[in-house]
Amino acid sequence: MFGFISNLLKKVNLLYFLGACAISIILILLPLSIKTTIGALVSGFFYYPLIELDHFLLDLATTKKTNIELNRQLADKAIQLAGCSEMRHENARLRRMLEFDIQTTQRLVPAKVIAARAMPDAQALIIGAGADKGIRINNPVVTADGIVGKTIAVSAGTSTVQLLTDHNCRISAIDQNTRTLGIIRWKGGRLLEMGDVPVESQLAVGDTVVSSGLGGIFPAGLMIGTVVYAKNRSGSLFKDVLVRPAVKFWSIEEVFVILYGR
Amino acid sequence: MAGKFINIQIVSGIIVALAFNIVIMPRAVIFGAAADMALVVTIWIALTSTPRAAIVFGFVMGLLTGFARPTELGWSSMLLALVGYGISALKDRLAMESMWLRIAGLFVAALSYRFLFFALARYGLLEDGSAFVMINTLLSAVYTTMLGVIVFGFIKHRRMVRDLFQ
Repeated sequence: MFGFISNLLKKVNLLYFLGACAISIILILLPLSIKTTIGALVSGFFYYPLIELDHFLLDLATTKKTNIELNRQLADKAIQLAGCSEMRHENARLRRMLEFDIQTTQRLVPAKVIAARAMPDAQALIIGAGADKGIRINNPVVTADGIVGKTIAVSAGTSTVQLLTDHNCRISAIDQNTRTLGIIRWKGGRLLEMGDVPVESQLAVGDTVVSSGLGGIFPAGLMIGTVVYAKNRSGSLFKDVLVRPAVKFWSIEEVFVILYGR
Repeated sequence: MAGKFINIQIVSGIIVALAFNIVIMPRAVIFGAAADMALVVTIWIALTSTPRAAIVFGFVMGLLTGFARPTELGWSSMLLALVGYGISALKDRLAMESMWLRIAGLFVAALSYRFLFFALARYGLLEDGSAFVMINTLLSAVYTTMLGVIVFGFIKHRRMVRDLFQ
């Protein structure tokens, strides 16, 4: 017996294994309630940092997904907001045009600009209204701000509008303050030239220039622009007069065609 | 000094295996089968360290695993201690120096461990769905072996790099 125990003691590894087995069997035989209590206590202590790490990694993954989703929603909202802003501007423009429509006694045809054509020798717009709306060649085209130009070609559903900023466009104009007549034409840049203004005229910077109605195309009193330069030139019979157009030609979206001259 | 190194090896092995089993493995289940890092590390310690270290590691690791699943408390500690002791005992007799032999040993150990675990700790499953248990055991053993290959390969590579600078 003593020899067996002595041999066994020499096999330390086997003893370790048997000890492990004995403890394991005791644990297996424990009632489930005690196992659960011990399990909760020990795993709460040992697993806590790892479970926290697990939750942290899970949160990171969720945060990334949420971030992507929020960015997508943000982009959506930005597009919607841009659309709303666009509609707000359009609304403001249409309101102004409506007020203009009420004020004027002329017969107006509203039209949307569908294309712009800018070339060195011709500047024109194409609008989405034509002969089917009663538009003819040489009908004045205006916005609530003032004169845009006149129709130079008309088809069934569209019309081509020659802008004031076209080299070939001429309008008979009058200074509202001094009643001085002149001819408005474009000579490049953003300003219009008012020609044929005699040096004796009292026309001055800040005066308003409107159509005179003498040309037979534009009715009298339509806004053209404001005088920004008026000086006499030595040896000349006429003043140098420059007018800033009331219409912003680079941002026209809706116009009215005046069915004038019938 | 050697004893201190073994203790560090055991503690770090426990932390790595626990972290892997709790944080990574639940996200890497394939067809219901999961690799068992505790088993891989037990076998690695059995192959590279003393039998006592392998038994202690297997037992502690099994105990900690069991605390998370109280119904299986005791079974995993006994089986992992058995794996540690068994591999340590066979290591010298079979001269498991070759990598392939180690991988084969890992596969057999994983297969036996999983099967014994199902048979003893979850014996009800053997009666209800033995086909499922067999497939799950086989897949888990393959998966664990693959994980073992990566871990053993990583350790070997690290040692080679370390030896280069010594």
